[in-house]
Amino acid sequence: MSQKKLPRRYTTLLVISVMIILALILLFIIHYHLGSSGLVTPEFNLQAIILIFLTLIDILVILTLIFVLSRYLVKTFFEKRTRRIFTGIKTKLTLALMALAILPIAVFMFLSYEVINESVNQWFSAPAEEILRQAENLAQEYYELVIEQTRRDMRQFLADFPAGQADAAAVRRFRDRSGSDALMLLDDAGRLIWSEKATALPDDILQLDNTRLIQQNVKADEISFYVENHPEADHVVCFVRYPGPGDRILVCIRRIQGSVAYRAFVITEAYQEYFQLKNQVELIRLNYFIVVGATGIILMFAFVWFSLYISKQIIVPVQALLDGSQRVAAGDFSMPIRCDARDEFDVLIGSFNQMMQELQNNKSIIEEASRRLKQVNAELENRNAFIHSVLNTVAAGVVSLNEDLVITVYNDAVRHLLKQRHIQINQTQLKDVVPREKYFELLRLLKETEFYQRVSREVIFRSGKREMHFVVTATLLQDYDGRRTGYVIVFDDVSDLIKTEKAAAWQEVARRLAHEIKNPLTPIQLSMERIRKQFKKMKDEDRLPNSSEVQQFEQLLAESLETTRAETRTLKYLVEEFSRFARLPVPTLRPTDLNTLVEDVVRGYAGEGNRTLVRMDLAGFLPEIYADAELIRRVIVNLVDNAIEAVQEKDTEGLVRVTTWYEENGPRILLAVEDNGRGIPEEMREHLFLPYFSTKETGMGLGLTFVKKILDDHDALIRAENLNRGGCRFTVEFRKVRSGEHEIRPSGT
Amino acid sequence: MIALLMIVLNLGNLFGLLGSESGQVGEIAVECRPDAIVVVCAVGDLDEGRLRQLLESGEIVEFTYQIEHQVQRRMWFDVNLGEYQIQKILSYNPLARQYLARRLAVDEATEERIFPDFHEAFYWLTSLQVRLPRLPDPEPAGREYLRVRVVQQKSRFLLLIPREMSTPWQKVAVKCP
Repeated sequence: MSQKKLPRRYTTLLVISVMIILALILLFIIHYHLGSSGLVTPEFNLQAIILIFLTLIDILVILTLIFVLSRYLVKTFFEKRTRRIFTGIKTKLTLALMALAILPIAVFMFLSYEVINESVNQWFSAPAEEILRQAENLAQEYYELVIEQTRRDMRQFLADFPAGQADAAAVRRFRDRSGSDALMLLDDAGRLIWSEKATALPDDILQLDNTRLIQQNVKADEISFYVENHPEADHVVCFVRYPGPGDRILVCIRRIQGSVAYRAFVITEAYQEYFQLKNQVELIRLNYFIVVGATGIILMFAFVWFSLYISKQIIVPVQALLDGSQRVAAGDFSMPIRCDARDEFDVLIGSFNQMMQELQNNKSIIEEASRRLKQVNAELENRNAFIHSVLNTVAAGVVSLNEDLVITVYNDAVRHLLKQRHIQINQTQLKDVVPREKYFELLRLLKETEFYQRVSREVIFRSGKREMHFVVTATLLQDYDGRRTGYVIVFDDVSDLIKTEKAAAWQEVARRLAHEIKNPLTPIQLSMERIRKQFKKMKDEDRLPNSSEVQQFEQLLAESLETTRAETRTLKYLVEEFSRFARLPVPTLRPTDLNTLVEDVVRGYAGEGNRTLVRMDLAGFLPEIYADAELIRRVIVNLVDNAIEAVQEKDTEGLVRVTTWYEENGPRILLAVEDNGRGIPEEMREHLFLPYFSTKETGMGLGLTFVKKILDDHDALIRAENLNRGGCRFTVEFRKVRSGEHEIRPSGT
Repeated sequence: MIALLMIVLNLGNLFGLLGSESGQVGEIAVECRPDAIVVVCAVGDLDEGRLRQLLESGEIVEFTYQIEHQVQRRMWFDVNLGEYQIQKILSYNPLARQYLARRLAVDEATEERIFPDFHEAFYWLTSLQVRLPRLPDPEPAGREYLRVRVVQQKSRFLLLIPREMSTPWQKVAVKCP
């Protein structure tokens, strides 16, 4: 079951109403029980309890107000010291309201001080005091008169009855004659011996206390007296030691007229009250000052509290709004302002909270959109990276251009193919990366794309004496509206393809040439042999004249035959070589240890006694390759032979080094054969692997062609390069590496 | 309300004669008699004018002489041999121009006096002669002593907490054979 909470404003009103009612009840109780006199002293327990209760309330109220005010001021002071925002205005507002509250009260207190001072001085003015004094004297003189009359009566009695011979009738007569109200004779212990008194005299006029008083103050030669304040009337009691036997005391009593006694009592009371007040004048003054001061202080506290309350009504909502605006400025819309404000502040805070809510909603939408955008961007980046990776794996060079022919995208192959190391995206232009004559050729190509979308053409780039054959494909890029946005150019390096095609063509030529040449060679050889045999037979049978001409002919024939034989042999060798080239077997790939092959080959060159030193530098760890061992052996033999021949052309001591190593990047296994010969002439490097191209006088130019063919069949690469120190190096790169089985072999030389 | 508080707080002070600034018990004379110790002392430095003013304005002035007969012992709670109180009450009748005095004490008859002269009344109020009983087993010589002070009246702070206006304690050695 949920409890409904009252709004705070109603709670405050309720509290204030209850406090006012309690205060009114309290005032009523005070008025009823204590009266409205200025100086109140407790006369019975209830008054004392009320006074204590009021006093405690006073103390509690003052302490509470002091605590609240001090706490607020200390808090404000420290807030100002810490330079917390809004504390400046808060302090000023608080001080201003406090000053507005304190100033009138201070004026009120000052005026009250003056009024009280003047009033108190007026109360104790000299005429009033003199009147009272004279009235008091008047009463005293009247009493003295009665006392003196009573004394005189006693003296007369003592004169009339000096030795105590008075009898009752004489005493009565004397009392009637003198007008005294009573005549008594007491013994030493205060007990009554005889008495003569008027009927109106109260019976209890002489109590035990009075007799003791008389007894203790009685004198023999002096009449003593005192005034008995009886409820009915004051009485003058005179007493003296009565001569005669025993210690007797004569007492004479005279009543003071009731009205006179009453007036005298009133005068005396007024006189005493006046002087009591006069004695306490400073205290009374102080008390009034304290009343005024305390009232002022309470009022001041109340006004200050009220001013703080008012300032709080303003400051708290404004501070809450300020805090809220700061949080909004910092981007925090999560917490609405929670503040019990009233009136317009309530509306303002409500509007602010609504604004924060809307901002929060908008922020959520923006954050969601931003998150999605980031996600899309990340996906795009991933896709770009993927495309870039794919592009980098493509052997063809790919370059994307914008409308101004500035490179926007390219892959690594472009830098390699166009020999450009520094290409900067969105800065480098197409003309900066291609030769000038090719740039215009490419421009024409790009122009054609506007009509055919995609155009391909073979373009030959020359770098020095080297030629690179590219199939350049240009594609026009368009947006959804068909507007041109750029181009993509693909440089496909077909140099190797052309070389392969050339090699295949040569192979076919060789096969046909061998076939066409080989067939007539035997008849030629046989014919020449028959001519030689026929001529020898004719000579042996002496069917030829022994003339110089025949001798010359014989010599010519012999030379011709020898020449024909030699050339035929040469032709035969040539044909055999071409046949071998044309009939290279299809390799059978098996796991092969390259180091073992190299060792076998190099071992064959050891101990020949030649001046060329063949050294090995084999990798300690070399995985097996998938290769046809016999064909690879021929490759190594061919390369080593070429190297030895290259170094033997020089007069210096030759050195051939065969090296193997493994590169994990790929992975790939490399074989290098290098020499310290003269190196490869630059103009020959392009045709190095073409058939019938040799730098050697005796060579057919098919060795490296075989090598290239075998390595192509193994999906291996070969490249040749000159060394800076002299000589050249052929590097073979095997890419079909058997992974997972690694055999570590000791390196050997 | 604050005024009430202040009046309540100052009720005692309105009629205060004794305190740290005025009213001291003077030299105390001790006379050893076979059956009693007679103590004679007086309150000095009392403001005569203020006393007269109080009396004439109707106040009743009451002095209580407190006498403690003690002995020097190690334990503080074991030092008392006897405690005595004598009350002296003085009032003024303005119509008769007399001062009425009364002396009250335990085991002593009430004494009532009439003084037509203020000085006599003042002397009576501020001086004391009292007979104290001698102890059956006297303490070693020089260890007994008397403490005397005069309490004017007892008031209550906030009407609850007792407080008194009195002279300081005056001490005198009892050297009875």
